[in-house]
Amino acid sequence: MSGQTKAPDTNFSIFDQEMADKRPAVFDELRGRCPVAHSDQIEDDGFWVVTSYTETKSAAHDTSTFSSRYATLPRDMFGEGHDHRPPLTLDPPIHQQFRRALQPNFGPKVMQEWIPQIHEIARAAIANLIDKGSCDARSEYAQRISTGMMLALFGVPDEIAPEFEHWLGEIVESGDMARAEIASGALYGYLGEAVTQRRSESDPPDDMITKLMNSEFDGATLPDDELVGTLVMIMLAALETVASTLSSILVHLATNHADRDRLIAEPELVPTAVEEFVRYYSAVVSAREANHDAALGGVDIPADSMVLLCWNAANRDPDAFPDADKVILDRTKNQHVGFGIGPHRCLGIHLARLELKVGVEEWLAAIPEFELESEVPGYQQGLVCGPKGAPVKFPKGGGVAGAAS
Amino acid sequence: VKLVVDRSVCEGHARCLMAFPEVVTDMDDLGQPVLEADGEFGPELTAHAQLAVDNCPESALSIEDA
Repeated sequence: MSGQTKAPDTNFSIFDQEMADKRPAVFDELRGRCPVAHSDQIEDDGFWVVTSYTETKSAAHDTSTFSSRYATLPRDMFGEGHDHRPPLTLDPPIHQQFRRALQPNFGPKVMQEWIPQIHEIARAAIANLIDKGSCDARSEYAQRISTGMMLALFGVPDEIAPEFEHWLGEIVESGDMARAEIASGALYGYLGEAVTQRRSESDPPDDMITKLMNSEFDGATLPDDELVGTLVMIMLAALETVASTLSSILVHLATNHADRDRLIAEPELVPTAVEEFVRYYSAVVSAREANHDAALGGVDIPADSMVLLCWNAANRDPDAFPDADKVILDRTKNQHVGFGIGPHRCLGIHLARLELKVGVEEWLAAIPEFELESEVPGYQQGLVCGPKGAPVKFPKGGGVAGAAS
Repeated sequence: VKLVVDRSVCEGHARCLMAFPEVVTDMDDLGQPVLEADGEFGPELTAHAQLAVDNCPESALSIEDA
């Protein structure tokens, strides 16, 4: 053992509504007190929660100490037999082989080909809500974009969309093992059938399922169970994350009109602003398991402990970012870890950026004047913590920038 | 001067592709930057190069004498 101090206990949990509603403040308090703290919640032996930038990075980079074999908290969040979702749940060196096979399918140039589709999805969503004068910008806009793109990418028919969203919500948000297990079973079942179907076709559709089905990992294609696990990983990673972040951005712009008006006046600033929003509103936490006794930030972590990396907490660490508690649209030095860091950096980073950028652009072009209609109805519990809704109001039909001010 | 990528550290966040497209033209199949002219650039592009360095989450970039 090389650590010297015993971490103070906390009752921090990602399944506590009160804490979810003020998660950044909870992180601030924890970071100020002990950046590596022990919580007695969720698992029988609790878990360790990391809230500083430096220690978060160290843990994410030290893959020989902190394994990703369980990337969730609790370990069996998806129910028994559903904990293998490569490459998220793999460690080096096998992890690199997996990533190398997947990466070309998610490269920046490949993803750029989807830009027209993202615009189309965003515009269709806006057309459905613009004449109402108010809407939930999460379910009626942000979620339409993340779900619409994922369904397009995977060639899933539109009529399955509501069912998909239901399964995902059950798995990611419910915090109820029994419900999560049923939903996981349904999702794995659907994707298993989709793969079987494509294998039987001589000319399967040219979508992500087929691409990954045909990708070679160390000279061989993936067995079906691995492939389905990978597809589930990508889908889970693609939906709630983008929907939560885009919802947070729209809530921010609905309440910070100076930022809103600046992005309208300087649209070329949107990509830089998106990085700042990803820093400030990082919605995700990721879990690791200690392979052996370890020390992190001077704190002893026993072998087999679960460790929670909180990207939002790292990104609001005042030791890493000047004015960490402020959104600065044109922040020039911004080494945020909102997409994770190290070998498990978000695989879909390029698509996520495009969805957020186009999502902001299309909204501001159509609805430049908008504000919150009521308070945000709380924040989600679990591994992805974004606003449950984004109730906004605006002039019916949208209108033009500056008309109401 | 030239932009130098520490490829043992780079994890392909592609912030350099956004900040410095004049020299970082794409990401390769390993998810790492593809550099124009082996990373060499003229003084008029220093600001963009510095932006790439300052925004790399893995601190994988540096500006060195060509």
